Amino acid sequence: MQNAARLEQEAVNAPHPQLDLSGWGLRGTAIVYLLVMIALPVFVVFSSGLQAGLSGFWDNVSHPHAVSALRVTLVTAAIMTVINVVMGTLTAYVLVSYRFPGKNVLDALIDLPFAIPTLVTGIMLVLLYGPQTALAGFLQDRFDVRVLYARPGIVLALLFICYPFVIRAVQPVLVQLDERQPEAAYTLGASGWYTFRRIVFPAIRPAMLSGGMLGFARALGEFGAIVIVAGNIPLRTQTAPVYIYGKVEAGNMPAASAVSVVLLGVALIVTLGVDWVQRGRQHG
Amino acid sequence: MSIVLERVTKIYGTEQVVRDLSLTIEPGELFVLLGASGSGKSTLLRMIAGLAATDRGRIYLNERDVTHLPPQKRGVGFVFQNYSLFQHLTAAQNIAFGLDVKRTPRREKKQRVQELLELIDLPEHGNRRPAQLSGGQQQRVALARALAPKPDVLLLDEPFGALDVNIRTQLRRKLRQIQQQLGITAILVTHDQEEAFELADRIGVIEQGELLEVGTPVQLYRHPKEAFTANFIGQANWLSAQRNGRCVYVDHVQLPAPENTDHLSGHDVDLLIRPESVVVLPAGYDVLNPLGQGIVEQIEFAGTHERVTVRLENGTRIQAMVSLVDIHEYNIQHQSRVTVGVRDYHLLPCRA
Amino acid sequence: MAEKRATHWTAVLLIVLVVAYAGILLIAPITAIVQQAFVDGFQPMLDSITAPDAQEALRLTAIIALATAAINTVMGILVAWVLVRYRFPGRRFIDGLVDLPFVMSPVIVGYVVIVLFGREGWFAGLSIAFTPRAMLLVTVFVSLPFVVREVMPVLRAMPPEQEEAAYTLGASRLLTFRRIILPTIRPAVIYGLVLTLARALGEFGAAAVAGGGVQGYTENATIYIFRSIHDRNDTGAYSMAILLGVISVVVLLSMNILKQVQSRRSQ
Repeated sequence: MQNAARLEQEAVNAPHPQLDLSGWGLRGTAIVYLLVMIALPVFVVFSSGLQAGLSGFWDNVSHPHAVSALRVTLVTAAIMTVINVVMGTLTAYVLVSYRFPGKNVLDALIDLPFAIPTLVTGIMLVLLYGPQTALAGFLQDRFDVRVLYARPGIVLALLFICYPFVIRAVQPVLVQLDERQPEAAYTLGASGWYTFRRIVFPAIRPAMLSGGMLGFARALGEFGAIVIVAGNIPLRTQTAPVYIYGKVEAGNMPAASAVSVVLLGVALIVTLGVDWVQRGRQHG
Repeated sequence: MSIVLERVTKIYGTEQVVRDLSLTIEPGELFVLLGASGSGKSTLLRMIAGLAATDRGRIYLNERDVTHLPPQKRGVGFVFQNYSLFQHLTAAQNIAFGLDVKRTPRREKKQRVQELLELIDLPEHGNRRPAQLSGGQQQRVALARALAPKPDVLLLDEPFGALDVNIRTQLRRKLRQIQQQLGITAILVTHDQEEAFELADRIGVIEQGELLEVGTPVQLYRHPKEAFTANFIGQANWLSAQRNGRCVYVDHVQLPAPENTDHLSGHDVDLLIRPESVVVLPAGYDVLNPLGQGIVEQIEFAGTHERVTVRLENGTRIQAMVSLVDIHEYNIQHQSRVTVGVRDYHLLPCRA
Repeated sequence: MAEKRATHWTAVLLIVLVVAYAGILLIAPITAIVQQAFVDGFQPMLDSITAPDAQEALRLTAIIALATAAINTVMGILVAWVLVRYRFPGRRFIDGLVDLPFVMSPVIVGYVVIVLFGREGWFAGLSIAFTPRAMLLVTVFVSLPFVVREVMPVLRAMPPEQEEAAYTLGASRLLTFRRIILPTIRPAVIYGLVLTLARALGEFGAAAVAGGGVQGYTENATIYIFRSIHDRNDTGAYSMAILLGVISVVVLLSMNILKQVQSRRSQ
């Protein structure tokens, strides 16, 4: 009986072929557009990257500058992601749970990094931590930390740019969270922390993961801010995108393409991971 | 505007959702398609509207073959169960939509919209948006919208299903009144048997994509041809019996055979008795067409009556609707010894 | 979850932590650039911004941004419509493609343009590389997902009964789209458009690689900033950065206002 009802519902919802008159024209246009605009570039990256054959690819990728660039990229993005997930979750939690002066201002500011050109971000950081500022001097003397033209600067820039990712991913989940679940936990004797750990946290974990991973993928490709903040010191502060840029400008396409393949490959794997996490959430 | 369906079939995947269905609906008739969920009734309605494709068969609206025409060209008005009003338009704009499409001149449009608003008793609500209207009001606007372009046929897909019970009754009456006033042919789809009884000129019982039976409400209630219909509409007591000569034999009990059942003579039959046709009196009283003696097993309050379940001597159980007055007068209680008779009954071929 | 006043000391601690983090990460840099605007007074900044090369760069950014917004709005609605309303083999794959521009590094995007249209490229004859057209192409690419992703959930949530009602009332598919669907998705389209504009205004890496950054020809506002830094023209760099920053804040405000309007409407 249930089967018949579902079957009828599906039959009812299937699009009427006659209303589909221009269907294939529309469908075709959209598909072709996306294939050309997006699938093609991915194809280009991988095919041109492997054009020199596997050995050529390996030579280019294993060059010490290339390896270092990839490593710097991955490490800084990873460090940024860890901090971002923690602070982003906390920020989302605070925004949803409490009222405090300036809260609306904070909420409005969260999307700022989405709006600001990354180059401008770089400039802001240079202005704030540039070698001539008192702040830079203070950090150098007290903590022996250099921000600009050093890895901390890269992490800082990435933190700024990816600030909204985790917050905006976790916030809606927290907002939707049924009040009654934590309340039930309290009546059963659970403390605030215990409740958070066993009830709230599992609910937001997928959002934390997907927001964090999206931020990570975004950070891998960051160029504009890093070029300003980190300079271009090979083996120290040169990230993969900056490395690629240099090679393209110099006309050394094989080197550029090899590193591009690796960078894009990692980003794609991470994106698949996000998709997998989100799909798990739908079924879970 | 008559509607003729000729061997209409719809296949979804490997299943036939509507099977080889033929039906003729008379002009000006309010025809109700009655069936359970999944029976194919909504699909059939959508096929008539052109919102779903017809795989086999033909559909004629007023002798015009519309089988392959899109909904825009069929001249049908459709009222959905819910969510169909255009949220960003006012009630008046919703109603005017069909007229906008036809590019009706402004003055005529305005007049017609006002006319319809009055017809549905919402003359002052034209400027409200759907979100500001109650469920019942929204459905009234949906009805007015469907009627505005003067369609030949009105199709309604469980239009009151999402509404509260009291509103439902009110709107049913309103719909009937409007339909008769306009003389428009209408098909209404529902699973609510009470609704079917109240509105229909004729009812078509549909199950698993097949049209089982068509008849007036009275016909289907008192003389159903199919056991499914008998069970679907109203409550039923079933007794196995044999039809022979001029009688019906239930075990050793003999009852006069109903008219027009000679063709069942010599066969096993199912005897259908509606609870309100069962008479329950204390043991020793005389009853018309006695079935036997028994003990009252259960009494349930059913508002205007008590539903009394009696266990007969031979083990069968019969349900009767006994008026509160009779319960009191004859002191019928749990465990009372009673005699049971039947006023009215119907025969169906045995489906064993 | 409902809000409550922070009473417990851990709550206060959390709030302070979060606000301090936001302060250091977000507000401090903004303050730095705002301060810079007033440091030497407006005049030098104004002179720099009104100089011909700055004006050319701004013009190029504006034209490309507007063209991008137009293209992505139209194609974005189309793509969203097809992905939501139709079923076809490989739909999930195509759906996944839409998010790709978010994860491709801009330099890789520029690199692809060179490979395809550069001097030794696959389609070298089309002379697209190192022209503003290439910059437009990459900008359309990087901001492609915004309108699509904003419109899709709204379309998905639209009850099919509305369209079907329109059809039974005689409306063609085009008319139904114009009068029923478009008004419903309009807030989402506008929000996506704003996001697209913000992204297009700030495009740097891909445009620099694909366009070549030739001053007066393929130099947009962000490339101008980059060049100014290299030429040690700090005033030039800062003034353009501040201008772009201000425009971005205006865009941000629009985003917030639109978000509030949207959430109020869905209630």
